[in-house]
Amino acid sequence: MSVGFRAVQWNRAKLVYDAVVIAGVVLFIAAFMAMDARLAPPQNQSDVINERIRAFGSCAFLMLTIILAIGPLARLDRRFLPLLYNRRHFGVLTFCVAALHFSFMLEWYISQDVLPSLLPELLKPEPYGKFIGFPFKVLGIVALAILFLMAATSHDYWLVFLTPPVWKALHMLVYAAYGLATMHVALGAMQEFRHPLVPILFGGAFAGVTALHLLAAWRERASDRGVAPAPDGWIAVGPPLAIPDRAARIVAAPNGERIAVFRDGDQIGALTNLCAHQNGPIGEGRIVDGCVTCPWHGYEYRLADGCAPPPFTEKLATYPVRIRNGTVEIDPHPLPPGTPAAITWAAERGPG
Amino acid sequence: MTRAHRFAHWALWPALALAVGFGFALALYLRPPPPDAPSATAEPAR
Repeated sequence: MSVGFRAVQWNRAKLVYDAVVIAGVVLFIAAFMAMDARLAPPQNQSDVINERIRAFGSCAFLMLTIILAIGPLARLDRRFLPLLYNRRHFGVLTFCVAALHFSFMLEWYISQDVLPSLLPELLKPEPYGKFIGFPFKVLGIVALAILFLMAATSHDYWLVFLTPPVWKALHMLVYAAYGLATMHVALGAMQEFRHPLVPILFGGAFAGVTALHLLAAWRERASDRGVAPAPDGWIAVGPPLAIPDRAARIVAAPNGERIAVFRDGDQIGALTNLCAHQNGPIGEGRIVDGCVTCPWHGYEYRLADGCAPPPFTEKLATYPVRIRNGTVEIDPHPLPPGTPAAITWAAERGPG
Repeated sequence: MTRAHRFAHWALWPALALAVGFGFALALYLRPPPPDAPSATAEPAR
């Protein structure tokens, strides 16, 4: 978890995650092609290529749907958090499947000996003025370009180079890619194949992902309302025992940024809710082996000062904490990352 | 996520849902009939 460059590191969890995803992809494509061949047996090489185009395109769309559902599902229910752990590999594999879908489209043009006509077809201006008849391939190509950009910058090297806020903003382009992919299907495959399952499955997938994102945002809206501070500027969090042991209570500063107030037995400390790695919600993590552990990728920080344990170098901003009249209070002005600020509750209780 | 990213989610998803939902529904509504659809006035086969 160093911020320096290092090659991809594998562990058992990542290997299992990747193996399950790859097995799922292989099974889906095999099942799709078997079913397709049964419903409409291919008559020639062109039909075989079309079958591959449909299978890999559907698979890439399904993978993108799952990837976009993981984030809100994990916010709505902690049991989905393990799916977040290696989502980047899932994303890179999605790009590979989508790229194969594109390559089979090229293969079809080559098999028909019409490859030189592809570029003029995409550049012809008239179809861009139509809705039905719009060059839907362009929508897919733009979506594929976004997926490529995301796959190419998925490594932690780029995360550090671009900084987590910029990297996260860049990777939010996946939402646009999903919208483009949905319209690619609506103006392409859905116009050709009349089966009602096509709009039901693809439209339903988009509607489901949208509903999950809106539901998660709606559930979190209360957390974004800043708590009114006391006249001296401090924010009341509640009695110490209201903070679950080895976990956190998340409060919002008046500017809307979230602060995670952790309790580890008698020790109480406040950290920014943004993990230094990917800005994950550190306050939704737990204290494991004395360290606050991010629920997304397991990055660890000491509660006392927000520093990652040696040899790691990440630091989180901390906040001054005090106990007044039996209530934990925090100063919402962050201290420089790595500043010791946690207090010991027993000491704060004082005599009597 | 930072407050700015959460706000972007808030603003982006409803806009994306409206745009894609409208486009998808329109694409479904304007779908041309299948080329081999039997005509209503076609003479029944004997």
